[in-house]
Amino acid sequence: MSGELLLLTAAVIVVVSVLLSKVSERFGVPTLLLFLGIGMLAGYDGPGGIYFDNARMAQTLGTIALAYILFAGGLETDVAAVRRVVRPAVALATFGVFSTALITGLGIHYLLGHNWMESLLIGAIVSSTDAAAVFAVLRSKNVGLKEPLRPLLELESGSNDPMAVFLTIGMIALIREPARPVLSLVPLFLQQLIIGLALGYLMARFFIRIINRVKLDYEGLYPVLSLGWVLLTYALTAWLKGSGFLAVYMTGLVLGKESFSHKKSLIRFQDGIAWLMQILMFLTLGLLVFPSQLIPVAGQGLLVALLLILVARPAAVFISLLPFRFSFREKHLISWVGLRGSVPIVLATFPMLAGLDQTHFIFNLVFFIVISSVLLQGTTIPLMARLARVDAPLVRQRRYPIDFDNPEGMDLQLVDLFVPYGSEAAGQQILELGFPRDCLITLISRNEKFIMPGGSTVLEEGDVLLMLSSPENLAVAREILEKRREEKPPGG
Amino acid sequence: MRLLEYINKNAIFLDIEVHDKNEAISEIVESMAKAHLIQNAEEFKKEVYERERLGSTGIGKGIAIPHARTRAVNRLVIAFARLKEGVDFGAEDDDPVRLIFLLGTPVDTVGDYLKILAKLSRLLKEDLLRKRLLKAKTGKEVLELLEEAEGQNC
Repeated sequence: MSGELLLLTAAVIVVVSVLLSKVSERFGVPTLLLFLGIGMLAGYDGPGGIYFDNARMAQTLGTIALAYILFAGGLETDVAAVRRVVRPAVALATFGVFSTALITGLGIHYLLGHNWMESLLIGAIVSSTDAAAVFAVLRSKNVGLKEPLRPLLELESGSNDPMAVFLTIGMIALIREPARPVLSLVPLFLQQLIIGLALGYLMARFFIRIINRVKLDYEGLYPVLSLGWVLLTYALTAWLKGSGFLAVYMTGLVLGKESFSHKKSLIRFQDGIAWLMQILMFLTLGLLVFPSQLIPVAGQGLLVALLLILVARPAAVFISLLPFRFSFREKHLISWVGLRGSVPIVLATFPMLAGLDQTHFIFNLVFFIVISSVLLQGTTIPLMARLARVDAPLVRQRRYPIDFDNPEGMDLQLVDLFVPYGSEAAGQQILELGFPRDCLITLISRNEKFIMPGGSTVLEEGDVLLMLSSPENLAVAREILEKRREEKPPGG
Repeated sequence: MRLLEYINKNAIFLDIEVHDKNEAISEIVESMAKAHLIQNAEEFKKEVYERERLGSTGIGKGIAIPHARTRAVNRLVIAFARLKEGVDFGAEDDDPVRLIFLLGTPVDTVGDYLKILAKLSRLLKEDLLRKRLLKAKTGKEVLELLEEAEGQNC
């Protein structure tokens, strides 16, 4: 394929993917599945006919993409909401993942008759829920969940990948060096965990310092800085033998909680990047699989998927959440939001690159499990939530009429104030009212319309003013607005 | 954007007996929680009080529209309460407040709720509507009055 044609194909695929997301929203099919489907169609077995079997490239791309997705996920996480669910989420992300891997491994060994090591390896690969999938499904417009289920599920999915990565790498190590004692993996795990968390935190602090101190000449460079920072955090942590995924998620969480300059624009930018990465990753993984090779594993794949969905995940959830107060219905729903996604597929390339046997079988099997999970669970979460009666009215996302970022070093607030009935201010131009200098009417809401106020704008009774002001000036402004047209006689 | 989309018939409380502004807000919020319209009554109360601290939402003529952006709701909700005895809301005209519209809106939506606030304050400017709201016998009647007023206003 010529260079231009390749570019053209790539561009068309990305554009079509984005536009089709609108369709998937309507039919309730998770968007990411659609991207995966497009990748498969573009691939060798589909009409696209692109031959791609470079597992190493897919893995690198998947890793980078996942780093950005986790970072954006952390950034958008409502830390106040998350704080209450830290302990159950950690239980799910560690013990839960471990139990899922173990139970799935057991099942594969006994049901399908694979050898122990291989069965446990597959169990480990599919043991974590997928942040990209869970974020995408829970943040889509179709799902509303009662508190604190959503923050719990998001935090779990954002923080459980390191455990799965670790278990997978550990199993590969055990297969390659059969003499190695299992317990030798424990320090390795702790090291990954601690270095990941610590570096993630430090890198976030460091970033805040830099962005608040350095005055870059071009506004557009700030997002670029963040782009580099995510990769830096991941790579540095991985190089120091910590969990890079955990680190970038942690960095995102800390940055999401703190305020710093350019935060709003940065969140928007990273949200866009996360979408792009999701598209790229799922397209690539779609390209990497050969659907014709999936058919032979369909029977086994379905069996393992059902085992995972109906036995391993619920068992892991119910055991992990024993010390916490969740109702049966809530645990039922948490079990159901055990979406697998790109992480298992990326992890399934690990054994390939490690030169183990049977790797294509493992890859195809894992791929099939993931698709079954996303199709079966991803499309039915709203239904399950209703059945378990843990659904909540949907949040309707609207755009802000104006955006407000608290500027550094200024004590300003944005308050809505009424123009009371009988106010002297009604009927006067804003200019005439003598508002203090640092007190700005940013927007007037009147008659289902927003009015951009100018000095000559005349206020009316019942107007709602969106006022930007310091606390002291706000009191002055209120006095002006609340002054009555005619003074009542005393005692009247 | 219709008011009736946001006012639930279970969120109309007629002739509640309270002694002051804070008790009024507290009563309405508790009743909303009982009707499962909001999730965290304590948090919501605090946020409404906080907004009142910045400036009274008593807009005169016996009307108050307390409100807050809050995580206690998933969508914009409006409750209506008529007090048996008027209370002082700190409005400049000193008319005791008997008609209260209490709004809660999710933190991430601003536009709709600014429009609803303006719409309420505009509708309630009409003497006739206020008089009729004071006389309404049932929640259903309140809803009908608001719907009618809104229809005429458009």
